[in-house]
Order: sequence, then C-alpha cells, then structure tokens
Amino acid sequence: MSLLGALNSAVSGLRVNQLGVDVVSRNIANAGTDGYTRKISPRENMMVGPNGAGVRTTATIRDVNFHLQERLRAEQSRSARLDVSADYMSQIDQMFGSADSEGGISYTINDLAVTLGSMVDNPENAGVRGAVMARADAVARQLNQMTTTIQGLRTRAEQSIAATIDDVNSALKSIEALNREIANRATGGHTTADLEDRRDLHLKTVAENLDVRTILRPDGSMTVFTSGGYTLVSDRASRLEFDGQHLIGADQLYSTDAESRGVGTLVLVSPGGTRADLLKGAPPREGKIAGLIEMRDEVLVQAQNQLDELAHALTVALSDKVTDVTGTDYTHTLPTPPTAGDRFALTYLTAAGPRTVTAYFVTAPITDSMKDRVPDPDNTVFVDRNAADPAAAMITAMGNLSPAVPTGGTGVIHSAVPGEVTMPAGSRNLIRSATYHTLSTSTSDGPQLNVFKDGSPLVGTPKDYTTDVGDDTWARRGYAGRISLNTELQSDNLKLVTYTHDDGSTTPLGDITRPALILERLTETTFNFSKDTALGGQGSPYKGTILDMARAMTTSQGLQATNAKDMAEDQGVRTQLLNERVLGQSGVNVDDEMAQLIMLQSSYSACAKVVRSVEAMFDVLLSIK
Amino acid sequence: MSSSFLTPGNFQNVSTQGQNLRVREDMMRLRQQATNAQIQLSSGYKFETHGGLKAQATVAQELRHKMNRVDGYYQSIKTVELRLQGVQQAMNTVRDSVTDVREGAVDAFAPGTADGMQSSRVRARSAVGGIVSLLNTSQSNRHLFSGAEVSTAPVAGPDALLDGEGGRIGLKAVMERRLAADMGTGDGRLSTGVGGTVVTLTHDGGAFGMRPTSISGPGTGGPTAATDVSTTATIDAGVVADGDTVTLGFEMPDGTAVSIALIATTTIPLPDSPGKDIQYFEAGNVASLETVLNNAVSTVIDREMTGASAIAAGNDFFDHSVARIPDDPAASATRLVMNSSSVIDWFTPESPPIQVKEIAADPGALVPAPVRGETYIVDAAAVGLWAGHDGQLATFNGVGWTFTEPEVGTRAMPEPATAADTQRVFTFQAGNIWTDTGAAPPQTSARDSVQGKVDDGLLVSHGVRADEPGIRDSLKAAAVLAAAGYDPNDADPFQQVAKKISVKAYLAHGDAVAIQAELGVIEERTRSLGERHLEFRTLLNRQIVGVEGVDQFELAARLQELMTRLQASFAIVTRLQNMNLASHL
Repeated sequence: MSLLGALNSAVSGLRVNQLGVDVVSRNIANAGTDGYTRKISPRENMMVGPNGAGVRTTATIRDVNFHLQERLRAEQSRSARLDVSADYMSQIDQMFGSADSEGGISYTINDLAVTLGSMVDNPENAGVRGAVMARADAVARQLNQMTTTIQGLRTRAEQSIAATIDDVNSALKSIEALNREIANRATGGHTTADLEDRRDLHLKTVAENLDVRTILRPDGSMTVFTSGGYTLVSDRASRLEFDGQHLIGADQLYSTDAESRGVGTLVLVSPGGTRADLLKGAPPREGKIAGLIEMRDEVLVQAQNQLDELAHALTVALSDKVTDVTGTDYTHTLPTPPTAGDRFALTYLTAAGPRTVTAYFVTAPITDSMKDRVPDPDNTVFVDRNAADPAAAMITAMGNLSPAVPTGGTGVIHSAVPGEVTMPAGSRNLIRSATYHTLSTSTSDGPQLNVFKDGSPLVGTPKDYTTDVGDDTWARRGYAGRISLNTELQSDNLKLVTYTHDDGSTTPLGDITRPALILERLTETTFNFSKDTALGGQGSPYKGTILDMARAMTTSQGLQATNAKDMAEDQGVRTQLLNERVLGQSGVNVDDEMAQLIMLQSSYSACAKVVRSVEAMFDVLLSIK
Repeated sequence: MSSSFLTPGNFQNVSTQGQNLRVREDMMRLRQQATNAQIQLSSGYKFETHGGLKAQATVAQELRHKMNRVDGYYQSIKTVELRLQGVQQAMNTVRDSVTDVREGAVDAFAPGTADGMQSSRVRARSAVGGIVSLLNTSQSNRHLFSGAEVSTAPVAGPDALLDGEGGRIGLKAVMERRLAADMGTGDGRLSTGVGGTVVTLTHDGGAFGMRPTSISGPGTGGPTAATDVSTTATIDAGVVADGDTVTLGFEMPDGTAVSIALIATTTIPLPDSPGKDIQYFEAGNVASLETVLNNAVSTVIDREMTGASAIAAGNDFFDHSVARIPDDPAASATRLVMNSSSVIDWFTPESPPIQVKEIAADPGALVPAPVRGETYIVDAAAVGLWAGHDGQLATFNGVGWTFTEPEVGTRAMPEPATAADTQRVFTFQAGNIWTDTGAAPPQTSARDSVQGKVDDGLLVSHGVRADEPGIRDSLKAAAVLAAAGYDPNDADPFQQVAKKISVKAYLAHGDAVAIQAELGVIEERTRSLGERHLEFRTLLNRQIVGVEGVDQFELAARLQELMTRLQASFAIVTRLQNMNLASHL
C-alpha cells in the first residue's frame, strides 16, 4: 500500500474511463447505423498478486443473442421471398386491369360475345362484321400482350437471380475474410466485436437471398450452410454460379434434365471445385432467390398455362368440326389417317353415372408426358394415327383403360369393319353421346370457323393451330403469345357469316347459322380445361364456358396476388417485431449512453481528483524537510 | 459498478434505432390506409384490382359481363321490334290490297260489265304494284321479305312480273301459253271415239286440259293411264239401260273437280237437261251418247276451264322456285318444263331444293304405293308408265302421272331412307342425270330464316319471306286478275277468272292475317322480354355496387378515425423527439 499504488489505481481509472468514453461516443455516433450493435467495454479489478491494483478493461465486446439473430435471419429470408412473390403477383393482378374499367381479358372476350350477338341480328351489316373482327383481334392481341408481360416477368426474375448471385458471392467472400481475421484477433485477445458486426451484415445479405444456417466455432469463426445442407463458407467460401438466359420465352422451362432445360440453374462450386446443382439437389426454400425461382418456374408458368389454355380453348371451340356419330346410325368411318389432334369422344352410362372417354389421334410415340396435356388423363387414350387400322387401335386402347371400356360386339364400342367404329345395337341405350372432332382449317367448309391462327402475320405466314398433343413441340405451349386473327377473314369479313354447304350451295348473307354457332360456342358451350391450369382438381378438370374460364383465371390470379400480399405483410410484421427485439437487446439507446457518459465523466473527475490528492500528498511528503 | 454497464437480460431495453424505425413504420402504415380510403372515396369502389375483390372477383366479373350482354340484348330487341313494325305495316297494306282486289273482282259482274271489268283490272294492277313495292321494302339495307337473303330485293318489279322483261316472259304470256295448252284444239284435250257400242273418251294432255278422274255407272270402264300420258275412259252404250246414270268426274287444270251426269232415256225427242251438268241421251244409241258427251264437255270447257286455266297458270308461275310452263308447242304439250332463262323468276332469293319422295325407275314397284300429289325423280331406264321419262319429275295424280322436265341445275332432295340417314341433295345434269351433290343444307322455315339474339340461349325467329303462302297468294290473286285476258265483247272468260280470284283473295287474306297474328305474338313476347331486361339491368347494377362499391358512411367514419390517429401520432412523435437526456444535460 503506497501512494504510488493509489496513483496507479487512479491513473488506471482515468485510462479505463477514457476508453469507456470512447466506446460510449462510438455507440452514440452509431446509434442509427444499420447492423451496429451496442459495444461494451467490460472492466475488472486489476490484481497484482493477491492485491488489487486499480481497474482494467478487457477486450470490447458486444451483447448479442446468437439464437435470436439466427431466428431473425430466418424471418428475413422468408420476408424476402414473400416480398418478391407479392411484387410479381401484384404485377400480374394489374395485368388484368382495374375491376371497374372493364379492361381485363374476360371483358374483352365478353365484348366479342356481345358484338357477335349483334352480328346474329345484323349479319348483313358490314360495320357490325368489322366490329366483330376488331373485337376478335383485340382478344388475340391482349393474349399476346399478356404473354409478353408474363414472359417479361420471368425474364426479370432470371436476371434478378443473376444479379443476386453476385451479391451473395461477394458477401460469402467477405465472410471468409472476416472469419480469418476474427480467429486471428481472438487468439491475440483483441476485440472482435466490430468485425462480428460486419460479418453479421454480410450474413444478412446472404440470408435475404438464401435461407442459411450458421454454426459458431470456438475460435469465433462461423460456418455457413444452406438449409439444404450445402456448405457455403467453412474455412473458405464456396461460389454460386448461375447460367441465366437473356430472354425467356414461354417454351423455355426448368427441367432437371440439362438437355431440355431452357432457363438457368443455380450451381454451388465448392473451394475444391466440386459442382452441385442446388435446384436439382436441395433448392432454396426461403430468401429472394427462392422467391424468384418460384415465380420463374411455378407461378408465372402456371399463369402462362392458363393463358395458353384460354387461347387454345378459344381456337378449338370456334373451329371444332363435330360429327355426331349417333346421328349417322351409330357408325363412323375414321379418316385415313386421322389428322393429328383429332379426337373421338364417347359418353356412355356406367353404374357410377355417365363416363366420357376420349381418344386422341397423335403422331409421336405415346409417352407419359402427353397425359399432362389433356384435361382428363384417367379417361383418355392416345392412338397412333398412322396405325394400320386406327379404329381397331382406338378400341383396343379403350379396352385397356382402367376401368376398361366394354368393347366388342356386346360392348359399347366395336369395330366390325376395318377403319369403322360402331356402337353395337344392343348397347345403344347406354350411349349418351359419341362425337368425332377435327379442327377445321378452312373458312368455308361448314358453320364452324377458324377465327384464330397460330403465329403472327408480321412474322411469316400464320399456321393452322394444331391440337396434336403427341408432338415434341406442343403447340399449346406459349400459344397465347402467338395467337392471331385469321388473315383470310381480315381480307373478307363476309366469311364470318357465309360458308359453303356440303352440296356446294353458299349460305345467304342473312343466314345466322355461323354467327349463332360461334356465339354459342363462346358463351354457352361447356368445355373441360387442362389440369395444368390448376383451376380444377386433380381428378376432375375445370369445366365451364370459355367466359367462365377467363373469369376464373382473372380471379385465381387476383386471389393469388392478394394472398401473396397479405402473407408478405403478415411476415413483414413478424420480421419487424423480431428485429425490434434484437435491436432492443443489442442496439444503442442514446439516453442510456448519455447516462453512462455522466457516470464515466464523474468517475473520471473522481479519479483525477485522486491523482491531484496524491500529488498534494506527495507535495506534503516532499516538503518535509 | 461495472456490471451496470451490461444490460441485464430481463430488462427490456428500447434501442433508439428500433424506436425510430417503429415510429416511421407506424406512420407509413397509417398514411397508406388514409391514402387507400381517399382512393376509395374518389372512385366509389372498394378495390382497384380483381385481386382486392378476392373470391368475389368472379361474381363481379360475371355481373358486369351479364350487364354488358343485357345491354346488347336490349339493342337486339329494339332492332327486332323495328323490323317487326316494318313488316306489320307492310302486311297491313298487303291485306288492304288483297281486299281491294276482292272487291274489284265483284265489279266485273256489275251492270255495264265492260266498265266494271276495266275497273277490276285496274284495281288489281294497282294492287300488284302496291304489294310488290311493299315486299321490296328495305330497312337499313335489309330487305325484310327476303328471309335470309337480306341483300336481295325479293320480288320482281310489277311490269316484269306481268309482262316479262329482257326476253323472259311474264305472267300474262304464261297464262296465254297455259290456256293454249289446256285448250288443245279447243276441246280441253279430250276426244271421243266409237267402237261398236262403246264410246271411248281419251285425254291426251297429261298435265293439261280436263282430265277424267272418275267414271261410274253401268257399262263404264277406266279411267286408265297409258305410257303416252293419255287417260282413257269407256262407256258401253249397249249396257246402259233406260233411267241409268253415268257420272263422269273431271279435274280442271287448277285442281278443282267438275262432274257431269249422263242419263239414258227412251223419251224422244230427248228432254231438256234438268241442270247444267246433267244431260239426257238415248238409251242404247251409241251415236247419241257420243254427241251428248261432246256437248257436255264443251259446256264445261266454256263455263269453267278458262278460269281454271288462269288459276293453274298462276300456280305454275308463283308456286315453284322456277316457273313451270307448258312444253312447246303448247297446244300439243303433255308436260310442264322448267326454263328459268325464258320465264321471269318472281321470287329472287334462292329457294330450297324441291322435296321429292325418292328416286325410282319402276312406278309399279313403289313401296308404299304413291299418294296423289307425291313427286318422284324418274331414274334412268325407267319402265312402265314412266318409260321414256328418264330424269323427269313424276307427280302422281290419282290415276296416272304428270311429268315435269327439270332444267340443268335443278336441285331436289329425296326423303332419307331412314331417320338416321342424312338427307342428300341431287342436282339435274345434262343428259337427264341426277347427281348426288352432297348432304342437304339444314332447312329453315321462313320464320327461322332471320333470328335475333335476345337473351342467353334465346334466339327469336322473326323472318318473313314473300313466298310464304299468305303473302304469295295475295300477290298471286292480284297478279292473275291483272293479267287475265280481257275482251270487252266477251265478258265470260274474264268473269270466270274474277270469280275464282274472289275466292282465292279471300283465302289469301286469311293466310296473311295468320302471318300477322304469328308476328304479333313474337312482337309482344320480345317487347315484354325487353322490359324484363331493363329491370334486370337495374338489379344487376345494384348488385355490382353491392359487391364492388364502398359504403360511403363507413368510409367517412373510417377516414375521420384515421386522420385523428395520424394527427395524434404526429403530436406524440414531436414530443418524444424533444424528450431526450441530451437536452437536459
């Protein structure tokens, strides 16, 4: 015990308080800095041997709850995904126009129906016919434009993924560097608090884009995994790669098969150079990238499917040439060969009620993927149209369905003569309908009319739309983007009304058969819509008129948008609350710091006073003569 | 002391940044809500996009679609009403004209017949002009009486109709030709002959003149048809005893029946005939029978056949899509022919194919047996009574067959063999061949030829065609009277026509009223549907507001509350801002 000891203690107090003020001032200065956590400079009694020798500080630390932070990162991941989804979906919702301005696709189709109605009244009026053409053109153009919007959104998603990948990679690289630095400093007993803040910031960047898990190692360094278990940063950082496309069209889809994949995929390259396809192995579930991928590969694809189905149904409905087999003595001779995409539909009564079985005549070998292309795959058979006897092949296929269609002389369908199908007389009371459908490709061969064609007249010659589901390039895919008004009608809109009968006579100008048929098919005939529109259930396709379908599509997309928005908002509140909690624990409160400052200040002056007292005491001591 | 620098875990700290963020967040949310409320106030709708309406988006769209459609239907109804009004007015005038023709026909029998007949003719002629011009009325470029062929004026002009035009003959010439055909050599195509005690009455005119249809009484035979289209009846004078009656039935060219009765008597000289169609002849005297028969026939010709021939010519001209005229030369013609290049086509729109029973070659093998009035197509290599008539249309007349020769391009539809078969159309080609030219187009009635879309799934048929019986017969009556041969010195032929026309005009008037009544029902139904649409539209509008519209009172209250909350928040933020330790140091 000596004056020198007191002096030392006082001086240590001065030094510690100076350091304290430094920390407080940094805290105050960074009170509003994102990612800054409140720093604490812990102090302890300095011991020399068994005796106290003043005060000393240990390395500055921060007060952070690691698990809370981990949870916050997970919430931020989810928020980021839902924000993306809400953002994209709201754009789709807006694509259908505002509810009261009546500009959506369902209104355009309805307008076409209304104009067709007045064409039924006035088929001779060229003005009305012109209006029908204009409306039909508007429908085609709107479908084109909506496709452009949807594919534009997909392209944007693809580009956003590419941009995001760079952020993630640089963040991972920084985490790797910071890990090393932290480990080094921690070994030296230096403070790592600010470096950890920095690392948390980078980690936040990664978490916003991908859902990650972290493990803190004893040396202070951190290991980062994807939630799927791939290591992003261990000793060294892995690198994400994305082979994005510049422009995405409706036919470019994700596939696990690299050959047929039309869009980019996410590859993780480990420091050792091993490559892993994340989308194939363990796709991200949360984070912006997950949201973007969900948009690109699911939500927007489904929206496009609905549009395509609508365009498909419009085209098929108006140009479907139906032969009622029951009207021709229950016997029909198939064309040789049937056109690709022709259908034979048979509805007969079973114990469980009426059952409709459809046979599609296709060119390509029969594969399972074709089942996804028809409304009711369980009751559908595919028949090679080039088979030696397509009628017999069809009946065999129907007999192989489960449950089997009764075939043969005592069944509901039979082929006694090659190429001919017939419903045996004994079972005709069970037949509800039997129809053969083919798409008309002429503007004059009957009341149906091929109003729409496949392809823009600005780029080459539009083709006849084909319903062939067995083709490698399925015509329905992206059809909404290619649908256009038949140019034959544009050059002569009289064809909207007149056509040639089988016997060669032409219908008179005032004949309403064709306008009335088109109108009926558009507004009153019920169709089955393909399963991939997700409007119906798994086992039962969505049934309705074309207008119903257009309305259901608008509602379904709108509803998805609202749900996405609601979910994003809810999640936003959750994330915010957790963020407040985290900030409350490790953030800076200026008032608190000010109070600390007062204490430090008084402590400092007290220490200074001690120094002065010691000095005075020394003076007294030295002045003893 | 140092431990107080660490925040204890159970102490809920508030970080400055967190507080700041919270205040900003809350204020932004309030602002957003206020902005939404403001937008709702100005638009009157709850949401801007379909998404906002959630599941009700379908309902909202459906209601709006329905409203648009109802608007369209209402327009259609207005169009239909306008058309029907036009048609009804025209029909009123057609009825007035045909009444006028009927009254005019009576004039022909008035004292001072020459003037009366003249007046009949003039009134009929002006009725033709009036009816034709009404039938050719067009309303906004649509001819109301053309059925579906709205761009074609349905009826030929009155002058062309009566007098012909451009080398094609009109009704007058057709009537003259028909009269010549019916007269033959002045004997109504009948001739008599005697063989032993038997008198033979032979008709060689096929479709023309007075055709014997029945004979009854002792010693009678026939009538029998022969391949050369002649029909023969016989009376054996040796069998007819005193007091016996032989009755002969004839069919006039217009299808009306006339019968004469010949009574055998032994009273000489023969008594005066008790009625105009009853004559006495000397029993057992074949020469007397022949003479009396000839007399009876000439009386009928003078009294009846001229008028009947005119009516028949009117039917030939008006009742078919292509007028049928007697073959050339008319006096010896045995069949009608179609020749559209030589006769005016009074009804211009394309007519449906001719309905025929079937195509056959042997009239003796027809199953079921032919019924009077049924028409067949005579197939190649025909036999029996059809021999030599390949390709012609044969119509059964009860005894034999009358033939009509089609022209190249004539279309006919045989009845399908079974109900399940599709009806086919056959077209007549050069070389007397009928070729199958495809499935028959759907046949529509005159009403169905024009339809208006007035409701979901509801088409209202409101077409009218000038060749509907009620309208056609009105025009026919007027035209036949206007075209009838007129000789001031011989009133009889004209009066015969006038008499028949007065009946026909009466019938036509009735048919025209029937059409009007039918259209009236359609008019009334359409009108009430229109009223329902208007009411429905109001209802729809209210429903749309119910689904999409915002409650103004609720909105005003909400807006008020939001503004209060926002103001309170501002006040608190300002006070919080002033409240910090720094300002007290």
